[in-house]
Amino acid sequence: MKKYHLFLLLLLQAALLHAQTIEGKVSELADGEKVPLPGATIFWVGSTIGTTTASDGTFSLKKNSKYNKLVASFVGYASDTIAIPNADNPLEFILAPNAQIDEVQVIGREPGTQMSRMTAIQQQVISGAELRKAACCNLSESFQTNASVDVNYSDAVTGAKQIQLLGLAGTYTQMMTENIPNLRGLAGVYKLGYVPGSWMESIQVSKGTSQVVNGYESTTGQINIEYKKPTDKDRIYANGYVNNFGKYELNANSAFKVSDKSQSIVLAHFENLGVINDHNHDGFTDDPLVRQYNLMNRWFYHPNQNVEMRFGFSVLDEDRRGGQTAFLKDNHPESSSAYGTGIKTQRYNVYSKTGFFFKDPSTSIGIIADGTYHHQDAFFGLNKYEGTQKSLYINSILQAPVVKTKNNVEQLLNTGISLQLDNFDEVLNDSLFKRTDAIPGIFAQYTLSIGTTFSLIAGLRGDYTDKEGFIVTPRFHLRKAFDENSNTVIRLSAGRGWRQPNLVSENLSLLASSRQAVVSPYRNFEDGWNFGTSLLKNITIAGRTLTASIDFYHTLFNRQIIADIDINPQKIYYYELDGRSYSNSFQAEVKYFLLENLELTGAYRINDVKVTTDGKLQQKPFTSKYKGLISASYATQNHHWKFDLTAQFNGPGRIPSTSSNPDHYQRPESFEAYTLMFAQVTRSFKRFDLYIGSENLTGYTQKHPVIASEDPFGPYFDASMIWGPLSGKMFYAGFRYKLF
Amino acid sequence: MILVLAIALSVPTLLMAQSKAKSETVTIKTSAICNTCKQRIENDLSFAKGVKKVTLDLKSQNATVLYDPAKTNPDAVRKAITLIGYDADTLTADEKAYNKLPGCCKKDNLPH
Repeated sequence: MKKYHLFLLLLLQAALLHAQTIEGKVSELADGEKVPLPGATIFWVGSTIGTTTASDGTFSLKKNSKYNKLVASFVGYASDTIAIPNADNPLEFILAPNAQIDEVQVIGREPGTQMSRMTAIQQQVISGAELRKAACCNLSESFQTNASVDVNYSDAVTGAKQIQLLGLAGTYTQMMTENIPNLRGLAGVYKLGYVPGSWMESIQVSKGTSQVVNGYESTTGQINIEYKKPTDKDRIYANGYVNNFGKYELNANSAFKVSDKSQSIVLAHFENLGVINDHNHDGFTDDPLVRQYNLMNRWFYHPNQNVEMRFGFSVLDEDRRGGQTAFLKDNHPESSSAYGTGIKTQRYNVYSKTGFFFKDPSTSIGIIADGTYHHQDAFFGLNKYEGTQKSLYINSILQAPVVKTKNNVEQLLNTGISLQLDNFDEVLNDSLFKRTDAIPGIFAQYTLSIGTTFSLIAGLRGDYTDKEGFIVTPRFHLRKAFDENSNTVIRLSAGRGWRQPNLVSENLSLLASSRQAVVSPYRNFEDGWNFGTSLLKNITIAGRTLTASIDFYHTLFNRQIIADIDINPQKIYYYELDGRSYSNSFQAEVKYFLLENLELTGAYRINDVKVTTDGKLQQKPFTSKYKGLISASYATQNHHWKFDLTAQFNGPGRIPSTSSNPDHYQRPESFEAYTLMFAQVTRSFKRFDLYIGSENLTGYTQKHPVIASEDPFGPYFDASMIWGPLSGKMFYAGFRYKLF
Repeated sequence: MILVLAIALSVPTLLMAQSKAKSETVTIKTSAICNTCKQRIENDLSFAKGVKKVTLDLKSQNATVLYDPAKTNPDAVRKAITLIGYDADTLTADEKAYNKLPGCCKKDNLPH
């Protein structure tokens, strides 16, 4: 009998315990599978009472009569709330990865490039897997397999490459590193070389104006770079690379845990090209000699569930020398009679992002601060240039729900203030260019989402400038999916973008010519509008998904500062646009896994970019009328071998007239279509990969890129008339070692 | 250029032909608990002798292994899993290998 009592008591206790305890599990979805999230925080909304999940993602927590909502949160994931009274027991939380103060959703998983279906802004994500398809070297190679972004040389001597989005100069594209505007101003020309390839985790390319939260720039789009994170699993990563032009690179990074609350990653890069290559025998080196040191340290600090901080710094030192081989071989370059160029760069950057989260997890404050010092000391023949930029950027964003989540309807309001401080100090020969700006801004952005099928973002910002007064930037994005799985999605966007040009530093490559600058008065801000639409469709064919997308973007400039090289081949005229300037870009893209491990991509883009120069509306020079891309990517069943092949078809374009030059210094007024090919083979071993590859496999180059190469100090010299590749067939080999 | 294309396209075909040799599948219960474990087992085990393909389902902790029976057998595959640091069915993880696992893969240790 006694035994029975005990048994009953135990039973009763178990039942009571059961009633008072909430059990559940926290998971994330990885490749469609639920994966437990250990160490996630569970707490009652409005309290500090909570627990963390065990190694299998499970938790148990006592019920509390005062509170009725549970939140599950985890670093780098969007929090989720469940109301308890009518929830199942055990509870199930599924968290989606999302760095909370990041505005752009980060997807860093295989396969290569993905066209985002869920974001309101049309976006392509270039993942780590895609980045590894072009193992060399920095950001300028990352777009080889991407149809949206063009990368071209800007001149024949410095090796600098520039990007174009929608057929327009990269300066109209906002560059961001982890959603902080970066690489602005003086860094503009060589910025692609400042981001080592192996440091990047993923890149997001968005077309059209982006959200007002990040500023008034980004007329044509936005490129956001995600670096490797302190929370990465790679404990040690090392990469070495060498090519047949004599360039070598070393990269290393290591992520480590400092304490339970802080983690850090150190990234280091060194590159060197010390060999003079002159394959076209014009007396000029094809690629400049480069030596770069680059170091970055990033931290993640998570003192408690209400605060998280990311901060870090980077240091860059680069020396580039180009020009005539006689100059580069000369032991006393300062007294050399040959033509040479040199650019020494030092760049220092510190940043921090702090997120404060409130009891209601959809309310947060994010504060971003970023400071940059950039110094460039350069000469192009007899032209001397020295520039210094000091910038400070502060942005604070408050996110609050307008109306509490009801059914599937979610309304969010982001408001905030920002401050951009810039100090430019530039000296070109005897002319001084100084500019100091303090631009405070205020913005509000409303987001409405209904389930997963509809979202709308409407934003407005005002920035006060002493030169223009208030500049107003409205932007609008809309996304509509026609089914729950987002197999058919349309998007619309419209918005305005502003930009302050830096005439000298943005047109530095024009110094690699005998052109003389003629500057007419101009107002400081460029003003453009962008309108776009896109359609994305997933179709299942033979059990595999075919993704097709088309998009159209129109960019229209109200005010633009023109660098006109059409009037006279010995001059550059800088003036405010007098006439029309626009770009129409139409792109179609198809992706399909023909076999389980064979992915094919095909894309085609038409660029119609016209600008009024020399008094007439004409095609923008050096811009291809179309671009096509075909790429095939194959991996063996166990992924031990990977093969990648990409062919790029670049259409014809216009070259500014040189008809007033002497006969032998004239060039055709257009260039023909040309094809570039890239290939790479990767062999993976347990802890390391080996790869070999080729860039420009067919060896296509622009012939005679330098006008008057034998008379570089004469009046007709011009190394800035560049539309095609300058270095020929390149082969490379390298390794990656990873310990995780 | 055509030659390059032809070579590039024929290599995968050759490799695929090679992988069509006779193979068997075994499912092994492991002690994998997070995505890093999944990647680690899938990567490292795919380099074990005779193993052709590894897929790990974290929900069930089951590793599905495609292997060549002429070169290996299920017991050897289980042994290989223990040497990566994980339990495999009734076999326990090799202690040395387990100690080398990253924090989040250790059962008694909370990560991050």
